[in-house]
Amino acid sequence: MWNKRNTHIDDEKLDRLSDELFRALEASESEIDNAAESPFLFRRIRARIESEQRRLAEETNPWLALMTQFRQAIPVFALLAVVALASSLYLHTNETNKPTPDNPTLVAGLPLFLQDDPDALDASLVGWQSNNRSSQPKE
Amino acid sequence: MAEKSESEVVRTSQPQVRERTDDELVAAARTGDEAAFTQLFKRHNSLVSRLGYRFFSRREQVEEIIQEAFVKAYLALDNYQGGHEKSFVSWLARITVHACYDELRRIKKRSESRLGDLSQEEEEFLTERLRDVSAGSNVEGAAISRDLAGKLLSRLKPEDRVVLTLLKQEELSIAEIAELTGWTSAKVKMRSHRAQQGLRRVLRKFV
Repeated sequence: MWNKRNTHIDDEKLDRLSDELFRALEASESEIDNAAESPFLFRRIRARIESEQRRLAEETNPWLALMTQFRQAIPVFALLAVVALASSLYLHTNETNKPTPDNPTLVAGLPLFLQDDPDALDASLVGWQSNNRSSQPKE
Repeated sequence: MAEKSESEVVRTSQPQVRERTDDELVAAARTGDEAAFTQLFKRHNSLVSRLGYRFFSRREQVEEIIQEAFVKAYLALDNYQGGHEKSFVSWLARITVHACYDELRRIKKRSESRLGDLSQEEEEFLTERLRDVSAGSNVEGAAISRDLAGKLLSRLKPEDRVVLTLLKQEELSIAEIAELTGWTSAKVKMRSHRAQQGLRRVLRKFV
């Protein structure tokens, strides 16, 4: 039923309708001018031209391409340098904290130089251990 | 009459500043004269915008076409061969049509056109128009029709769309379309025939 009806629509009518659709698509002069004189349009064109020229220059000159890649790798190199510096500083700090006759080491979290009497430290550790045991719940 | 002759005298007594021709501006732009290229842009941006609006209805799309066309033109300035007064206009129009064609192909690739996007209202409008295509359209009708036309034409193949637009809107001959697109006249002829049939098919689906 539908197909039958559709085929009866003659081509001439359809062509006239399509002509009307094309006419409807026409933009007004103000629309044309507004798009053409859009602010910053020319600046955008200039920017695109410059980036295209750069790209084309890189394509033809392998050294330029290499330099660009190197430039892009700068942040990665900087990060690596920071990591290397931080780790060398960390290692250096650890080196200086090693027990040496001149540099007292840490015992139970407290540097020895904070303890005047080593016996008092032992006593406090024993006391701390017994306190811990008594505070544990009995089964 | 006397006033007219007076103004003519004033005009002729002023030093004449001759506007540079397109070919002269192109020659200057080739040597890196930024102002020359700016002047070419100002002189011909409306032409490119007008052509852009033949294919696209949204302003941002047309602006994109203007950008694309002028960037391509600038980069191809060395290939430009002037000669006569309208050389640059024809050359730029050719670049613009190609930019539009590329954009149509990109759009087509990105999303198969939305046939189902037609609202009930639009379908009714189409049926109504077909019943009486000769009826004068009012402002509201024209507005709906513009949107609808965009949707319907997006169903066509990009090359069909190019040929039909240049035939129906720009009212160009087969030879002129062939010149603009770089296709052979035989191809344009065949394409126009197929495009016409394609558009009828699209319309039949809705009416």
